[in-house]
Amino acid sequence: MKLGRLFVKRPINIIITVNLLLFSLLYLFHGVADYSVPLAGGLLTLIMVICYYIILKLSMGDQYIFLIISLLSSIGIAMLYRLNPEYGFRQITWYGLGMVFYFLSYGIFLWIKGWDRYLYLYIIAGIGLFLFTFFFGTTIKGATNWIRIGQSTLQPAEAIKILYIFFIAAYFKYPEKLKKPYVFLGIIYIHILFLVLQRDMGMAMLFFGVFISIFYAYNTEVRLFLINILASIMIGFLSYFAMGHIQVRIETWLNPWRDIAGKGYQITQSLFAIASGGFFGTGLGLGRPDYIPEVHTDFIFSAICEEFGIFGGIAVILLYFILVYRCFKITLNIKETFKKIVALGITLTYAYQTFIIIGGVIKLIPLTGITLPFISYGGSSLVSAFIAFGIMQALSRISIDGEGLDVIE
Amino acid sequence: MYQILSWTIRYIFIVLIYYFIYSIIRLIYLDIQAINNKGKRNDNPYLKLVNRKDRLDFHVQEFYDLNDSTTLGRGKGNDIQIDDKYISSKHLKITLDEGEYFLEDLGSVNGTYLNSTVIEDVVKLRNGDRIGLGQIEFLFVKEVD
Amino acid sequence: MNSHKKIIHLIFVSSLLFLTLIGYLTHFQIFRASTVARNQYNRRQWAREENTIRGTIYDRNGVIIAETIDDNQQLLRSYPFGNLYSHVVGYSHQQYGRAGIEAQYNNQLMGYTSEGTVARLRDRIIGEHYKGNHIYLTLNHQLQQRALELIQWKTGGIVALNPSTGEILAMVSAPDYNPNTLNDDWSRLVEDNRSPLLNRVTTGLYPPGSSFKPVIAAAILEAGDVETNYDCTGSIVIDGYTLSDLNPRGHGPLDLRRSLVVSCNTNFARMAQELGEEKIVDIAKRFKIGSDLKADFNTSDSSMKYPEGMSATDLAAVAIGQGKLQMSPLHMAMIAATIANDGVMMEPRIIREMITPEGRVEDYISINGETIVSSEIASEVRTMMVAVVEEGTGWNARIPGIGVGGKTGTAENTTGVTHGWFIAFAPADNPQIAVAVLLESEGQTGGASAAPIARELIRFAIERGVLY
Repeated sequence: MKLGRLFVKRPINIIITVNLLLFSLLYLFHGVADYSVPLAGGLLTLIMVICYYIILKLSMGDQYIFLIISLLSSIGIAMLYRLNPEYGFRQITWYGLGMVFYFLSYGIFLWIKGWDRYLYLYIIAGIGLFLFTFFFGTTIKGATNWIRIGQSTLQPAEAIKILYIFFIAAYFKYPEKLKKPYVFLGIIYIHILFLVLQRDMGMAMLFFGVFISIFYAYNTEVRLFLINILASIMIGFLSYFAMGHIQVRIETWLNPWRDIAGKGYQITQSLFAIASGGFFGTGLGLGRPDYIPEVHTDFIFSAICEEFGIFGGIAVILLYFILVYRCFKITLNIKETFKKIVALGITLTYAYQTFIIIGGVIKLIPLTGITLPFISYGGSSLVSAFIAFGIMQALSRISIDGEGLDVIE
Repeated sequence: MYQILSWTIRYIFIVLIYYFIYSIIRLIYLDIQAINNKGKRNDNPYLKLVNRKDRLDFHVQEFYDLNDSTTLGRGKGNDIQIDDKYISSKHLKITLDEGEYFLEDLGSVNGTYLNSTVIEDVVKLRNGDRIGLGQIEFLFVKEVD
Repeated sequence: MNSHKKIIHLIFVSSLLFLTLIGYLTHFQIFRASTVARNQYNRRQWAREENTIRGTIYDRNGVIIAETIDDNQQLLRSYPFGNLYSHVVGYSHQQYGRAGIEAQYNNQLMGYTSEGTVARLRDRIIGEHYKGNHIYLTLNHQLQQRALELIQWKTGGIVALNPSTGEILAMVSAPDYNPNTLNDDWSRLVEDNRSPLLNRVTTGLYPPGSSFKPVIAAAILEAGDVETNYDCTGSIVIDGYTLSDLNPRGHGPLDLRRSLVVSCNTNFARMAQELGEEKIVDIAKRFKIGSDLKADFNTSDSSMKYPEGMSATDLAAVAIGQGKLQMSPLHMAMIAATIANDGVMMEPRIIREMITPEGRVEDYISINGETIVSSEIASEVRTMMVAVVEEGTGWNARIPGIGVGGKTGTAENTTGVTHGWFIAFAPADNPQIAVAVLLESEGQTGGASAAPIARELIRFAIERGVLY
């Protein structure tokens, strides 16, 4: 009895139980002749348990970050297996690779000292990747933000996301490097301009949100902050009138029901799914998420809502919420400016990214194509998320170690 | 048949995730308590809990303030009382002497560790030292001005 | 330290974002989801449809009008009487959507009600189909059949209702269609310029012609100071416009009662001038022209649109049911029913009862009425309308042994061929049925064409006792 209670009370065991339940159900769903599903589920759980004990044994800092992202990944992979086992299998491969990168980025971030000195490198690498995408990019779903390498496609913006955070953090550590704040602002807006030109509005919103938040926290001139807000509102209006596809997005957001078969198709299908799910959902495998377009990437949240109801959906939102909270906690414990801003940047990036895509698919805000961290299908976004949180893991160790405490502001 | 199974598991799944969230929010709650405690704290050096197993059967604070002489143990008479069965009733003592803090084991059964080494004698504490006893580990924090 | 505080602000902002997501999602699920899920573009509901035994629709005495039958695991919606109820019950079809009661009460028929959830869950677990609620209509099957016989091959509509409850007893619109054979007929039905898919009774709007005169008569009686005596010469000039009677020699000297009995256009046009715009607009409003009839089924609002006020000729035109006056046959039947029911207009209703698959009565349906004119005024108009049938233009509606009150109407319209109208109630001393008959572009007077139909329907109803 007591053993049973203890078992359930340990968060890692909850994850094991969830995986066990979901994958045995999926095993039945896809027909008992196919052993690949339970095998995949077992493999996934094994990776999670091993990684968890590595983090514990090596005292790699905060353990909850890893637990939360493991649960999110489990839900994502199970959902992908339900939608299409092929996607599910590939996602597990990406997950495995992601874990490798998680430990690598953890190690490298701690091993290399002086990350705050490479300001120019971050700028050049970021802009360089943008230029590369601009000239050699492939257009997928209306956005020119992919690079094709052999069979697979990569989204450079996912890598730029991390470079961008490092760039902002390095700037605020040594602002004098860029002479004037206008140079810094110029480079920020070049990043955003590239994203707008690639028609990647979700990323553009995300980059702007992260920048303006950090700028709010670390810029001492209130006037400059207000100028930025005003400028962004003006740019928003200008692009609304100058770019047809933005107008279309706003219109379909305001009234998707006018053109259900056409422009409003995606969002209305998503709303149909959420509405049909009700509070507890249809149950895994019993809904019709196959009616939703792009269900394995942008709209995976709608599929979760359909089959697990909005209680399942809210649970997922709360998981992101506690993840973000945990990261904010770590951020607050760090005293050294560069590391603190990197932690803050990663936290905000994933908080806003989650808000932008979930808000989009439930029609709270205009829909923009961006992935749901750890859950959506896609190698680039999954691996970059693991790299980002590997760094977060390293930062959590720094904050616990008290290394940050020594440095006085 | 699959339907019934899927419906049942749907509820279990949702309950489990909320339970997971609850167990982590419980920790966040403890954090907030600790922050509040920390807010009240003066500039005295303190012990900070760093290594918490994901489940402990006893209550332990995130921070403990240190006085001129602070005793720690399982027994009631201690300044810091922690009900860990691996901690002796009178386990250790931290004393202030001429601006420095010293750690002393009071003959505990399972010993006291300073930076992963068992202490035999009275040792001087430096900022950032790790004090291990029972199932927990503390960080000694003495902020330098 | 300052930035530390600002980061805490950012924590608040982020928390707010997440809480907004949760709040909006909850709001959506509670307030919007049921409507969204039932949008006809949501393909999921057809899957649900295929698994649901839609509720049965009955007439007031339990005759099955529409039912879902299990044909080798395939559920088929069947309408045993074909065309008879096409405009009332409508259809529920995968490809062509839904109409009539099938559309409006879809949620009930599909069992999309909160109370049904537990029962549905149980049905699903034991592998049975979902079950919807059954609906009993207020229609009387025999009367409905008779009404259809009377209007077959014509274009128009008949509606009969109970003046004291507002219950619709029969409602047919011609031409009609067979809901069982939509697959074969659809393209023909859509292209047919006689619009067989249109329910003329509830959604067709027509000038009512002289059948509107009882309303004006009520206003004149209420005003009390209108000079009603007049010597009709067959025509009257109003504002330079000459208005003629159907009878070119004129009706000679007459009072209000006589004017209604012979349907004297000239005197009504003249009296309308004295009555004035304010009182005419007022009576029209009280009789719910331009507003919702509050029926429990879809209706079009009748209208009298004079946004820039009424001129003398407009007043004359409205007094004889022409001009910009547009009425639905249902509304005209309600006017007859109001006169019959001591001036109280009952909200029309067609749903008698809704019953869950387990046999529980779902909805208590309330009977609501509104006093339009005083019972004295109603009684006076009622006497005049009886005289219309006894000794005037409505003589075709006379039934030996039963007192009938009515009013004919022959309405000019844009097609150039007049519509024939007759509104009636019976028995005169204790009205139990009110009827409106419209024959679209019939060419004959309402007294010649529509009154006999009303007579036959009333006779059938009272002699066979099929009112309940």
